Amino acid sequence: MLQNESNDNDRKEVKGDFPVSFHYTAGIAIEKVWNGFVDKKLLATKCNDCNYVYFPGKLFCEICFEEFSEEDWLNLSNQGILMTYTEVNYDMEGKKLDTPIVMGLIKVDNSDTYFLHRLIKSENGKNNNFKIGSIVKLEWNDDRKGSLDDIKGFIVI
Amino acid sequence: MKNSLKQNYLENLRGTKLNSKEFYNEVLSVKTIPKFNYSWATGVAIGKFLNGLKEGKILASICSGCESKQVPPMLFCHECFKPMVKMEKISDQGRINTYSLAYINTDATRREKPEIPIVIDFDETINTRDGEPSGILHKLDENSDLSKIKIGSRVKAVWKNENDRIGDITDILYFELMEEN
Amino acid sequence: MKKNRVGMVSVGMTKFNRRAKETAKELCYYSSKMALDNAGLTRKDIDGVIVGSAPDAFDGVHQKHEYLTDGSGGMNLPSTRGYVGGGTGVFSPIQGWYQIASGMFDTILVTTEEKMSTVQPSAQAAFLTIFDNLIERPLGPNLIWIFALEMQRYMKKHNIPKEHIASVSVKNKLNAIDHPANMLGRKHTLEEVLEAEIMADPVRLLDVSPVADGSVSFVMMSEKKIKENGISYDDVAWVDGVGWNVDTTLWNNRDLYYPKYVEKAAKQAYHMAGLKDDEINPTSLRKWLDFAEPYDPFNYKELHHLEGLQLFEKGGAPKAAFEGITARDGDFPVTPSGGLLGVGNPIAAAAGMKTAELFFQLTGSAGKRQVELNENPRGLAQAWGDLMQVGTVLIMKGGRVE
Repeated sequence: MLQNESNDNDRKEVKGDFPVSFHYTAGIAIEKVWNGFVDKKLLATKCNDCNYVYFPGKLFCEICFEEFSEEDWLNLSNQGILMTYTEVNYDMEGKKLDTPIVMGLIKVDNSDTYFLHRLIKSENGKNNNFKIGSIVKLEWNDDRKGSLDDIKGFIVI
Repeated sequence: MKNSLKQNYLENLRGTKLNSKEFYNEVLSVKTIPKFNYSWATGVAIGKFLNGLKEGKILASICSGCESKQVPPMLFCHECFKPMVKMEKISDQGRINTYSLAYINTDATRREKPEIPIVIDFDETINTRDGEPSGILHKLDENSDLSKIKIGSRVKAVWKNENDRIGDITDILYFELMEEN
Repeated sequence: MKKNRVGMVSVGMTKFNRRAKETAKELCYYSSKMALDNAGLTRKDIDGVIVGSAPDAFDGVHQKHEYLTDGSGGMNLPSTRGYVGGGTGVFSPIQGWYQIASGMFDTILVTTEEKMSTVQPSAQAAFLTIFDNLIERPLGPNLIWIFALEMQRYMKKHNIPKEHIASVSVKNKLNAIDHPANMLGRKHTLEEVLEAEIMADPVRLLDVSPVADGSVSFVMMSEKKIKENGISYDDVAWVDGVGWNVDTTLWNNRDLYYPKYVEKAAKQAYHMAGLKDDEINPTSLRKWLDFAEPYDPFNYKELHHLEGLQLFEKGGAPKAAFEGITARDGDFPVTPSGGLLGVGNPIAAAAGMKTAELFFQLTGSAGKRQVELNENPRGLAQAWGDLMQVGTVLIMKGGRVE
């Protein structure tokens, strides 16, 4: 059997990479949502038949499969409830971060979906205790271009 | 044929067309450059094959169940599914099974002088399917006389210097047309 | 099989664009909603979904099946992904067929989709991984090599003049003008095709179908449900035969001039449809079938596949194409839709479009593309995928069924 003739000289591995990058269009719905960020708006879509609010807004309701029209879009407030969170200590390549990052799932007021974003310390240092159930408020970046980074993060209030 | 479907069934098809400028510069988008780096285990058969290339040899695997004499070598035979039992050196000569003159690179840029990918049928092989020779993808010498390249032309491997061979398919620099063509 | 007959009752599709603004999820929504609307159904009426999408690398999203749950209508439903490269567009309705024929489901929504524009610098770069990672990639190959090597072997084996092959590009791009989703429908002369920019000899630019963003969906139903819903049998395309086959990855062990995997998949489908071995030959088959939609990512592939499908003798398809036998108004129409060459190539959705053409032709709703049909009309769609390995075949029939 070939397996029994193993030899330490046999080359054990071949290295290679996958030289691609990706350019994802935001699409119809998310482009609307990100443009909303420029105006400090959190744009959601409400399905009246299913009584369900999606934030970020979608093109269609996943449940009843109907397409949303202009009237179904609404602007949510900038605060919500922290549903869960985690402190991230390593980057994507396994290197330890100098400063841990805290990520949270936030149920923005009146939405039925949870929104993933950063939890950050408020400037005056008060009340940086992240707890499930904390009321959190969005902090905007001054320089907004229409992307997820237009949001600096959420602080506990 | 009686039928109640709309005759213009495919009316108002949706899908917003973007030209290149709109796609890359105008609509909102996210760009990511992932780092996909892999280290693939060569396995038993190819590990030995690559070692053979380092030594300037082409190794074929011999099947325990049928007469397959297979390049690239395998741990088991694809046809009779029995294990391959040993590896044997075969001649590095064969015939061109098929070829192409490639004027474009992988990144879609153009080449002045074509690359010449070929599939070689090695002389002393029997593939795992139908008793015909087996072989590999490789390249023909870029400076070959294009008018002499034919399916069936005899070719021979041109190897890198012993010191430069590392156990890779590129230890064979390329194949060249033999004089008798 | 007569017990659990399965029909295709509607189709939905997007336009095929080189670059679409919509995300993959949104494209799927367009085509699957359209299929539901055309069947007079809502999402509540479906029992399960099939998602057919080829390599994750094109859309740039892992677990593409799960990613497309919302757009394919699959939330909280049994959902299955089929993935055989380009063969997916015919394999997906086959999966819809066996899920319904098993008796487990009555109504399945099948969606095929691809968003090729995402991967940069081009789809070529993603195709690099089609080559063996250990002993082929270090040579710096690109996808066009494989097709050029296969085309060369096919041409030299049968001494095929390039004009015969080039005529397929002319035919398909012309046919595509009448397909509302098309992005490449145009009248070309034979000379334009023969003199187009050389890529890898013998492949030239107009021999190749460009990639696209697009989605095609179908609603498939059990005969029982079709009767319950009062759908006229004339508005249904019935599944008559299916087949699928994969060949070895040792592609350099194979004589590339002939696709054995297509022959095997085709015979599986012909046998299921009730044909005996002595009825599986070009003359008989071209009477039994009214038209065919073989996979045409390259012009020579249409001919290559026609021979694998036993619709023409080995080496016989090119001359027949050149002489007009396979034109839409010819003796045996091939690719009346305009195919990948004319409509566009969003991998899985491309063969989805060809399957959809069976539906349109067999129900008499193909408009300007309509071919003449016999009393028991039948059409065949075939797709191909991966490393010159996969053959998937679907035969459907129209009208009254016993």
